[in-house]
Amino acid sequence: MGMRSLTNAQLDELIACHNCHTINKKPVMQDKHYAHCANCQGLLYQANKNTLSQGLALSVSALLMLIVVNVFPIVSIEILGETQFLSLFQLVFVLTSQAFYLIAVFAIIFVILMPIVIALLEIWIFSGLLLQTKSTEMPLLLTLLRSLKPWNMSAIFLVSILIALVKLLGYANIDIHEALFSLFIYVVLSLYLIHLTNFNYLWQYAEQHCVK
Amino acid sequence: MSNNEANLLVCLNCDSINLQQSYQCYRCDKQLTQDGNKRLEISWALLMTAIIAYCFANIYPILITQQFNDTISNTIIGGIFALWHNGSQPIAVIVFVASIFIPIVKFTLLFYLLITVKKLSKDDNKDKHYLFYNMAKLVGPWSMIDVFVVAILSTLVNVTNVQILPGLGANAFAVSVLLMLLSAQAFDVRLINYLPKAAEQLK
Repeated sequence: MGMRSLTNAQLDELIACHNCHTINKKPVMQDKHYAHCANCQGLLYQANKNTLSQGLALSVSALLMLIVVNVFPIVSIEILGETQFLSLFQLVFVLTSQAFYLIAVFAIIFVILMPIVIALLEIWIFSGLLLQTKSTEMPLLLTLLRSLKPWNMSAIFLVSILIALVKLLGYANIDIHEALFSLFIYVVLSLYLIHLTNFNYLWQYAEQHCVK
Repeated sequence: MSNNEANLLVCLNCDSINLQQSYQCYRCDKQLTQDGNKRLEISWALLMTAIIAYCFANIYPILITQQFNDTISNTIIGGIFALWHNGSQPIAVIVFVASIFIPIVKFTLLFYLLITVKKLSKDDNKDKHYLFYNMAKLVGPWSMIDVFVVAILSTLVNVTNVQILPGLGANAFAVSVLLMLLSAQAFDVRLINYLPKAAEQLK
């Protein structure tokens, strides 16, 4: 990470607003206080001494929810006396058998792979930072998490399920299974994790505690 | 806030603040500046392709229903009308917002950004540009709703006599959404204010 000159230490005291890219000076803050941008009043970051342990707990829970979502059926319907299940595996299987490979690949990447990879990355990052293990892969992990986060489409998938069910309301008997609730909980957890993940803070913490 | 233009640049990888003349980010070693014009052109190209794909998505059917020997093809707009007349007006509105309104808003916002970003001067108020950029990024992936709904319906309604199949329009729509997301990602937001406002107390 190179030599740290006095200027870099001063640069560490600055933070850019996510909304309007105004550069603010980090205020001295107490626990549970919020820092807002001087220009647009948007949230800069929250002082929270439990950020890392909360992040670890939430990302482990998120992974557990994801296992349920991926293994068990989400909803099933009965139509003309036949029962059909919707699970993530079934979704990919049916789309592939109908030769809609593009949409199948989209579903695999955005709904199955991304959430799992992101949850694993978060567990790895938060536990690594908490344990303050000296490692060389932390910058790579943080870069990966940063670039993958926008491609998680679980929330959109959840809303899509609800719309599809409303479209089927008159035509079929609908059974909702536990995995739908797991998906809902996962979406809430992942939204809170986005709120919690301040990359400026994570990078700075990693640089101070986890680099050889 | 003083506006003393201290030539600072935000690292897009780790959010640290760097001096503009530095080549690499001091914290994460990533290359700081990219060729802004090149990124603008990539963004333009992706946006144009996305618009073309979106036209195809509206022309071709997005959903094909096979009921016994009956085959009904629905385009996006046809599907919205069908929903409206079947009494699911709220859902019709959601589908309309996700698959017509959001894409068009996003095309317009990105168009506006890409056209005006080069003409901005140092003293212009750029709040609007940041707002447009953030909106385009925020609403972008939600157009995927239509693609996922089609995928879910074709998984669930897949019995001997009744089948729902995705149409060619669904593929085009998925491609359009993906390209639009990539177009917004290719746009370097720092171009809006290449010389960001400096912090008040940069000692």
